[in-house]
Amino acid sequence: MESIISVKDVTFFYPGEETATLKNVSLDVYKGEWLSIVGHNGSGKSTLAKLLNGLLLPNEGTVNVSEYVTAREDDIWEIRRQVGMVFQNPDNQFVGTSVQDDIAFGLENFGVPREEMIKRINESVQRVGMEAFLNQEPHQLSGGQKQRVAIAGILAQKPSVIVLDEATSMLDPVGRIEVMETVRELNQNEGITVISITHDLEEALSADRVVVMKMGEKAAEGKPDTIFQQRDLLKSAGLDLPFSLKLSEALRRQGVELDRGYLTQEELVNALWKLA
Amino acid sequence: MNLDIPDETFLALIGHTGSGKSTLIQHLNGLLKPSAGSIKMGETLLEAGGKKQDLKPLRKKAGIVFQYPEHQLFEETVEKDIMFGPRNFGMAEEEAKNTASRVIEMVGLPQTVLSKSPFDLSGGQMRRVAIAGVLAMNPEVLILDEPTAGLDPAGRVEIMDLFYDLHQKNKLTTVLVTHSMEDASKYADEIAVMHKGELYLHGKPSEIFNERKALQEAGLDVPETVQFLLKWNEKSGQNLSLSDFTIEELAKSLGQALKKRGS
Repeated sequence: MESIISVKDVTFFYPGEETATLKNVSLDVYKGEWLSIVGHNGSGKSTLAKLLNGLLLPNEGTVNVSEYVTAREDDIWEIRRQVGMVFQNPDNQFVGTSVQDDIAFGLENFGVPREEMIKRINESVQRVGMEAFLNQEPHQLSGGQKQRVAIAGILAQKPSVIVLDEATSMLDPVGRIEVMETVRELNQNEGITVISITHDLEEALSADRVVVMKMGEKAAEGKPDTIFQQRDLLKSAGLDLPFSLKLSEALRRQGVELDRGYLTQEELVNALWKLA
Repeated sequence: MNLDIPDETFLALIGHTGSGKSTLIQHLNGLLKPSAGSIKMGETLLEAGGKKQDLKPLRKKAGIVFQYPEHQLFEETVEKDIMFGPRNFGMAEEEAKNTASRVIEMVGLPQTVLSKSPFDLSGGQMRRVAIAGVLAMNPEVLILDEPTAGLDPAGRVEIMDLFYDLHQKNKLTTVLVTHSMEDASKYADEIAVMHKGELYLHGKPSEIFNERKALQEAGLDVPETVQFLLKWNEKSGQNLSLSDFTIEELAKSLGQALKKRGS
């Protein structure tokens, strides 16, 4: 598989801190995949996200985005165009006074000509289903809608990677589904690589790959069905087991003879039905 | 809307964004006044168009833990931050210090934290300090606005268990605003669902979780245990129900059903 982002031996200290927030982390992100990064508060996952598009630079090691390097000043604009970030708080990332101004702001920064700008704004709002809201002011939008506008702003810059830094954690369940469905479509239909920093285990379950961060180090990396079987690893990383696995365990304690732990409700219902 | 919250109840207040939950809780300690109608909390009565009155007793009685409360820390030391509220309400310096030392233990932090700057603490610790600041006012009513937002799963359980423990030990009345049906089912005696500015459903968890269609219409759903049980019932043609909504209870109920079929 072709990697689009490559993190090599990265160590990172915040200024004035004695312990490293990231310790010797290496990681490849593959083109077109959905990678979830999970870990406890303070595990370094958000710091890692900010290193991916050069918002932070490593003290040691390198971060490459295709052939570009975040530490190289000449590369940083191209990297920021390619790797778009959606942050946690929907109210902190709206800069325009309307949806279209907000998206235009980002494009102006990249010097996109007006004609092209209008075309891209219209295209990108359609892709996130916000075309009816072009002239709306931010305060008239829900949290989920604001996050979709943030995503449209990124799309207008024709990115190859979208990084979601707990982008749905302040949203209600409806807003969460709205945003995740939008991103899933972009991932599946347009091949945009998605890196999702999240506490939502059910979301991580549907990722192609999962990275577990713990105390600034990469504790594990793999497919969700192998990662989420490792209860001790998850517990020690401050994470919980997904619902269906917890229920599988509880059923075994009740003497139900399941052959293994199941990750989704559907699989578990079917497995129980076969036992009946 | 009309809502009665009896003494010592743990009420979960649920509804999607814009449903009016936050507006409602801001009425509970007088941050907002009703345009019509009234709010009675203990002895204090807030009426629409009523005279200006001293809200201090009310605010002392009802402590609110806002969303991301750690954003409101501001003092040089944790101790000063916790003492700020009590001092403002006229508590003597020495007593306020003792209070700070008492509440810091209640939130599970060591005494040594008191002399530190709140800004040198981790996010999870900062949140505990902010919560300690509310507890220092010795509230009888605790209003929690999504107190676990942004915490990792382990931190979420710790904070919720802390509140539940306080609720029971100190015989508090607690109002928890949450999006989590799991938390509502685990801790609440009663659930109130808001939708479009109205009280949409109100009852015991077992009553509320029988109303899946209505919940879905309000942009909500039943807890995962109930979702699973419904899937099982559909597949098996059985009609199992739960007496509580924990995973253990669900496993027990499914285990018994399987044994019966097997025998």
